[in-house]
Amino acid sequence: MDIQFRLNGKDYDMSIDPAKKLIDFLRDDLGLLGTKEGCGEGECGSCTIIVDGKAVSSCLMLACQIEDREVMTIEGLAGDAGLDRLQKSFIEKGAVQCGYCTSGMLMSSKALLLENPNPTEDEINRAIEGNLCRCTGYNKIVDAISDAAETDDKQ
Amino acid sequence: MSELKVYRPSSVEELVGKLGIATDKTRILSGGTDLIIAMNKGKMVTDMLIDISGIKELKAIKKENGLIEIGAAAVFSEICSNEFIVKEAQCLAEASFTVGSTQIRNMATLGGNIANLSAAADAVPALIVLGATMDIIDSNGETREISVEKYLQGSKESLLGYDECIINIKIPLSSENTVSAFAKIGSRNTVTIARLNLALKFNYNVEKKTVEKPAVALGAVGKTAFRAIDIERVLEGQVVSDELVELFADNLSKEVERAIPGRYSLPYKKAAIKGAAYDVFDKLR
Amino acid sequence: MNDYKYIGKSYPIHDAEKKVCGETVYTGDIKLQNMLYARMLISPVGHGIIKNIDVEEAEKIEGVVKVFTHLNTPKKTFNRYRTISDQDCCKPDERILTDKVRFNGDRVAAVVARSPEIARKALEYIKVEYEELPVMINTKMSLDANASNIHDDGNFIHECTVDVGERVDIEDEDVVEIRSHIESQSMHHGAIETHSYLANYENGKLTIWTPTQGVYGVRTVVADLLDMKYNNVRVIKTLMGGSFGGKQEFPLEPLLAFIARETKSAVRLDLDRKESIISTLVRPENSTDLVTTFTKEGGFIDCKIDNVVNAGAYIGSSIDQIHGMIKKVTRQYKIPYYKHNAKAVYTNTPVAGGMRGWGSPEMLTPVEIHMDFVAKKLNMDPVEIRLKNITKAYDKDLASGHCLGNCQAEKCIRQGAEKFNWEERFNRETGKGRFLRGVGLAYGNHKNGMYGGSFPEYSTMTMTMNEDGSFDLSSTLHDVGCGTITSMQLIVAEVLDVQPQTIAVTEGDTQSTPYDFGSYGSRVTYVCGACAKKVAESVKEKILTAAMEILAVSKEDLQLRDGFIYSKSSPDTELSYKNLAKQVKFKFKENIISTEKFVPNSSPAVFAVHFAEVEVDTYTGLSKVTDYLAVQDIGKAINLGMVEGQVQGAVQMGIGYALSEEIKVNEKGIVTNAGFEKYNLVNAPDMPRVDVMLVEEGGDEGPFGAKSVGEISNVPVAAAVVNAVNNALGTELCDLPLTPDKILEALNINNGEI
Repeated sequence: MDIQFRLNGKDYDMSIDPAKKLIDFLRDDLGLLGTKEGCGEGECGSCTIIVDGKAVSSCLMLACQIEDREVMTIEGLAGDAGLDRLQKSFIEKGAVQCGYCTSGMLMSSKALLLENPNPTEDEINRAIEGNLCRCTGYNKIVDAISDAAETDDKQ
Repeated sequence: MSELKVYRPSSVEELVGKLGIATDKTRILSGGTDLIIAMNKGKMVTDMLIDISGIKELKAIKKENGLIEIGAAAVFSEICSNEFIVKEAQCLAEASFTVGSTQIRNMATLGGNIANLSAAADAVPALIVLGATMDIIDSNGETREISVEKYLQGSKESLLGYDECIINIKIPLSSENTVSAFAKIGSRNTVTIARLNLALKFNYNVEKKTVEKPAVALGAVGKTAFRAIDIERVLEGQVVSDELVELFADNLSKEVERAIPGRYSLPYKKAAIKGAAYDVFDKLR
Repeated sequence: MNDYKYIGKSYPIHDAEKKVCGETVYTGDIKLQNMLYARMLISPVGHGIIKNIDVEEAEKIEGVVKVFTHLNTPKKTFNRYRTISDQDCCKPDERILTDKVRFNGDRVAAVVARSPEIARKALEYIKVEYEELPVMINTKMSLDANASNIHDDGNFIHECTVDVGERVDIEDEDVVEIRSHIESQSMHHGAIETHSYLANYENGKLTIWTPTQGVYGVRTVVADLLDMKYNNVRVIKTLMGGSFGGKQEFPLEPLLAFIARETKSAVRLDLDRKESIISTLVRPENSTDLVTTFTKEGGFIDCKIDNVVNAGAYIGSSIDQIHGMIKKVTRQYKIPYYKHNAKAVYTNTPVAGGMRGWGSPEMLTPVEIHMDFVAKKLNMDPVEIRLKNITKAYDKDLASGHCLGNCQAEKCIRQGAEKFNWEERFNRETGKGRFLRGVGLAYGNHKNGMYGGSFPEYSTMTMTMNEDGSFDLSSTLHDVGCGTITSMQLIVAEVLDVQPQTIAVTEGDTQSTPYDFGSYGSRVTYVCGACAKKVAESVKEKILTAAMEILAVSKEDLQLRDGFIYSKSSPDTELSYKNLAKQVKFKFKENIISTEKFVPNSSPAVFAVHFAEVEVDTYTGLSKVTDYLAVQDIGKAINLGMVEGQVQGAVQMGIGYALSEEIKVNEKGIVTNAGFEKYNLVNAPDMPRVDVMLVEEGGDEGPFGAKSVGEISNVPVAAAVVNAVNNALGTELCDLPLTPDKILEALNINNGEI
């Protein structure tokens, strides 16, 4: 199956195995290893990516479902100007430990801020409710997201 | 390349064409949040997937002709924030907001929630009390309409043929005084499979402060969600009060007992339904 | 307190920038040329003999390289926990692939194929015939006289007893006896990275890449099992997506190593979540009986404990676990007479192993729940009863005879109680209506390394100065994702007064880093950190000696600052580290290099006192932790931000232990919730804000006074939460986890409804 899609700001036109899971397509075919699989059933959020501005689980999608859509993975979060405000904030606030949930966590946070630039703490918690972290207890992650939103606000 | 065929129709017309070549192993792929898991776990053997997530007209939410019409492929994050639904079908908006996680709500669809026939499907009790119906299209392009409640009463095989697909869900608009609410009890506060679902709708008589034409539906007790007619009778004409909520809770508890006699989870569910009873009334007040 | 430049401030983990860009490489991301993929067939039954196993169809599938079963793998057994060559407690009882399945998750076969999909598909073509045997899912069933034997020598593994102190002579009427029986469940470690391993066999040498906590342990187990020389098995620690002890033991490295050797290939084995839950290791289920007597004023008279640990289907670390368990309680309470018997028993359930806190949460959770029952019975404040009985700094532990060091229980309890406003919150009205609030506290201890045991407790490191002024620290560390590398950088940076980033720190690689038995036992900061400090000080000496010669001034006149050496007497004289290093190398033909060994003479107690507030929905039985204060007797925080992060993460895990996390095994021995959909970790909306308070009194052998934090911070959490729930409801719930079902049942009993 031939499909066209936009990924991390670049247009693609590729022949794909339509039955392949999206996460496998990203990792195996495109070499984008930043997206992680932690459960295979959409419960842990490690495989979260952004499709048309919304956070979705790439382990629950088929590769063909990104046809004509715009996709962002963790590899596309930093722009030409350097790290995204969220990435900086995750580093500064100590929101990163083992790092395995980090890509998905950042994708969920990014999708939240795209839709809601000034989220409350409750809204942040709900936005990452589907992203499990075993290291941090979430406190510093919530602080980092909140801080990134505030910084964006000031700029 | 795997042997599985995947089709992605971009219109209902194309969908009908694909239904024409469907076999009994064919599955409709919508949000994929249950189907792909089943495939990942090797629990689902299928020859062909028809992915309806790319059909724009099936993602729309419209209000016309006295109905709210929701495309079968509309996702829960759209439904829970849609202004018509938030205003006129509150219980569905509330139920939609309790589905899965943010990611799941961005993918899972209303049509899938019904078609999957899960006992714990969150949207279904809400659709039942709202009197929702749905249109099902077949490989000849013919549509038939069936109420969600009726659909659930049938068996998995008899109701949705393999060459059929739900295309939209219709909710009749209710009177100005209609109120509705939904409550869910799971194993944690969010991202949880329902252990109990409860939806309630009624017309509130402002002068008499009474309940009129109530509809009550329960989910996650028994095979499918169902309407609790006996409890509706108990509520009819009653003044909204703390005592009424208590009466409602007691009756729900009995209903749970009737629905899952002897089940291991019964002691918990018949007690915990009280929480759901209070939650729905709290939301209405 | 000393004014440090780097120590005690907050730094991100060393690879944070790569992690936020998705650039870090975990084992499952590594692809070697011509790499093959392995997948396991795990037992679908709880207990049975493999009557017949047919792999012919599977081997015919194109892309399948080989299928392994018990018929073509060694009969020799191993112990997955064995860290050193001759370890008494590590009886070998498990095979690479088994001929008798002892639990749902036991390894039956392994397929090696050219792609993961083919390997997965091939599993479906392996035909296995099982003769099913009776299934024992708990220790009581296993110990029944008529129980079927899980292993040839029976179901009872081992017991140990400590019987210390002296009975106090006191009149019976002045004595209050309190008994309780407390159950705690098995639990999944829940690292978000599922287990992945990679092995390659080339020219008679085996290389294993594994996210392990002990490369030398993997080497020992694998080399001994496969009869290979230790220097022919190279083990490299890979980036770890969390462990919490779950990657501490070595159940699967032997299988993969064998497969790689047989196929003479690089082979990767990736487990899915289900396999990570059931086929690796779990926190042990524990059943505890406590009988204590107290004076009416709340002073301990004696304490008798009997506990039975469910080891699961193989011994693993359970013998060592129970030996540890009997020496926990007397480290935190002064008890005139203490007797404790602990048993480990086989069952047909997933294999138990160490998990964060390693025996301390399992043992001290029941003790701390019990202490609240005591307080209630004596009508005392839970704070008061603890203060009355706690051990003090430099006390000698009754059970082990070891000195407890400068531990600070009293300070932690008093300062925490004040900050949490304990007295007022504990003595408030419990409230009426649907939602009830309660508060609870619990106290716990843990260790700082393996001093005094049979482990070779020491660490060795080599540090080199490069000619650009940067440093290499060669050490066998294993950062589990908690910031070990950063801590070492900070320790060295403080000694040498250089930027932490200029110090490169290695992790374990048996071919190139010095022997160190592994990163567990809360020994990394205390022992390895002290070693890092020692080697840095040695390098500093060498820098000063060289500077003396180059600058022609006395050593006393020299001072280090920001990577430069200055003369105090002539402030204009400066020498950069870079310049110095160059001159030393090229002019003096010398290396600035030191190797140091640090052998601790102590493992002081480290305490934590945690305070929790919960809100219980009495209609649905759901509990939510609404406020939390964790007080840690840390000695000195090396990296403040990471310490807070460790504690907050530990609280998340402990809340799960108290309220929701439990591996459920049905009567057939099948795990019914082997996935995150049904095995619920605490997620963000259910997580409270965790206030972290540090008591920093230093005083022991740790670097700059530091003690451990990662494990100890997990020890008191579950008991604090359970005590808060019991406080809210007026119950004495003691069967963990406190699920909504158990809470409603208890409330109904209280109300006389059942």
